Amino acid sequence: MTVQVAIQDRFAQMLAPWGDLRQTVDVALRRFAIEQITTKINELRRRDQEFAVKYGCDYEAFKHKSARDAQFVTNVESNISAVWELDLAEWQFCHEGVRDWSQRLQEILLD
Amino acid sequence: MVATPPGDSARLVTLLEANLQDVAVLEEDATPRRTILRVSAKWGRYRVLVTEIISTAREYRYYVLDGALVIAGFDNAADPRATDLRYGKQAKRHYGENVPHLHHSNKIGLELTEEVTCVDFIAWLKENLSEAR
Repeated sequence: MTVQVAIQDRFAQMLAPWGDLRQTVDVALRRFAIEQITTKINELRRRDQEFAVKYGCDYEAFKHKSARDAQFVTNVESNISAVWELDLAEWQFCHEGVRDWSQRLQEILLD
Repeated sequence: MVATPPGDSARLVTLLEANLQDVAVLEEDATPRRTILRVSAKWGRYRVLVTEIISTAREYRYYVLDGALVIAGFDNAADPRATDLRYGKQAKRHYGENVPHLHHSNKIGLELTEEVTCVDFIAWLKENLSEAR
């Protein structure tokens, strides 16, 4: 599938030395996508890590324990956060988001 | 693909803005497979925190706080206390499943609920905390 996008004349002229404009733009967009996704992965990974520090374990361990151990949940509510469910939702988005974007990045790199 | 149209977050924010005060979007983001919306708002003197994650399933958190006290918290997290309440002796088989429930009385009280939407939550606020408006 292709989508038509108008390129400003100054950019078309700027890119002319690299040959076929369409190919050059494709390469530029691919690089841009890789850069954006990498930035997003790093940001989500940083937040994932912040939650891990706050709760003293990684996401998978917390998800497992908080779904099975009522005493663990009570301790978390007493000592860390009474509204851990809000954190867990955000943590889930960050953790799973790293996986989602990593898969997309891999698809782009292998394409 | 993201499982929900991008307009859904905007509709949710519009709904909250029409009914609550000081609505602020804390986060609105998407990955190729899920979206998240986090919003804070005021309901009279209460602080309201809303989180929705849409992927192949829907996860929600609708919380009402009075300072640090949890006045009410609707969510469908896999809370083992809710799982125990729903399944009794069979609970172990169901740990990890999302179970809709309501926390109240600063989380001393917990009761099972049906799946709750933001519309349901706002209706609950109006019915149960109407004095706060």
